[in-house]
Amino acid sequence: MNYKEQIAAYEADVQSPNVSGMEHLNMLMNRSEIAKSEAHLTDQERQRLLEADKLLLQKANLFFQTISEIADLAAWRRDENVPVSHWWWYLDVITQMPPTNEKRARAGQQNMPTAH
Amino acid sequence: MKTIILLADQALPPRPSIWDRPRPLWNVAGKTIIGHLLDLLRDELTGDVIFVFDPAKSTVNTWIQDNYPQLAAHFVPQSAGEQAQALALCQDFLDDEAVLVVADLVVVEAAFDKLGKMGAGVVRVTPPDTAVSPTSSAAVTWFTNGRLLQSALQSTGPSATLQDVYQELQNGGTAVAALPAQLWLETHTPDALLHANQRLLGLGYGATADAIERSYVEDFTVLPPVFIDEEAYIEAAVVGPYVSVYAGAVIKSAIVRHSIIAADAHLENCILDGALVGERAKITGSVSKLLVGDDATEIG
Repeated sequence: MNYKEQIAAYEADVQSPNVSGMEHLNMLMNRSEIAKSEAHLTDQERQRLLEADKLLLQKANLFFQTISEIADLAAWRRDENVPVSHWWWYLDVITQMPPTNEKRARAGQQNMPTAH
Repeated sequence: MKTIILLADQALPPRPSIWDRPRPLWNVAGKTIIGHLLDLLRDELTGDVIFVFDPAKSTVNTWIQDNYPQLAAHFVPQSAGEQAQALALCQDFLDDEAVLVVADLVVVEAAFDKLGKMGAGVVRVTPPDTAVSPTSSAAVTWFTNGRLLQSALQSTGPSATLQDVYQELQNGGTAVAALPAQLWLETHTPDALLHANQRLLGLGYGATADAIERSYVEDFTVLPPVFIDEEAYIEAAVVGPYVSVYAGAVIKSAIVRHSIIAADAHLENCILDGALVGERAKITGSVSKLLVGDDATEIG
């Protein structure tokens, strides 16, 4: 696959958290392949990648739960010498991070008691 | 035109022995190697087709008779010897008709209809610049008539190769021309075999047209081009690109790319890239690049 096809595949994959762990693992491997071509991406392709990355982050928990059934991400990072800049391999860490202020505020609004 | 296909495997190194079955019957891109060759040559196979075979591997003959009953096939056994000896065994078939000789099981596509119009006594079909690791023993050569080949065989020694034969003819004044092949796929090493699988699938030969539809129904991800036999089972996996999966193979919770998975192999919880997995082989664990022979078990 060339990087344009890889981006299209990544965009599709981040919208499908309900597939198998191996398919998610393949998505992360594909994201690493895209990273190798980042210097060649157009502004539009960068934007598409950013939007797809956001979706991955939003659904990190779902992806991580399924991946953890078949793979240990920490061991994977160690075995494959994953660079720190490849944040998508840190879904186990990301899911443990405290929510940002923005997220907290959003959660607070949702939990706000309604008037009866 | 007559065609002589040298199937005996003198040029194939004994190791690595990937599959027990004879090399012509190894599967790439949904079909056997000999099947691809015969399909690409089909317009030329109008006359006698003489297969020189290793008598220890006569299953190839049965396969050809079963799958290509329309061919005027003849089978000549050769237990040892070089290409010239193999051709000498076909002397009874050499007459005034043109002869195409294919040596060392190369899958080739070329403008064969031009062979008789090039004004040469001998035409060598040559590998294109893009050919991967072409060997000197793989050769496809056309002779304007069988008598010409016969006379050259009488002048060269029994250890001669096809190259020696047309060199002999050239030295004797016969015009030799070259016709570059459009496709030249050798199958003598694992890398060559995987390359052949990739090129043939990429060109659409043997690729499963409904692989994506099937992946939706059966719940796995496919990255075409791939060949997936109807009787293969795939679950929670990513298959492709350039993967051939044969009947009875089971792939569960795996990522498989650029690989050939033979019949009844079982892969589970692993990642394969550039692998040849033999029949009934079992792989579980975490493996990256493998050549797995028939009945082997690998646990990562």
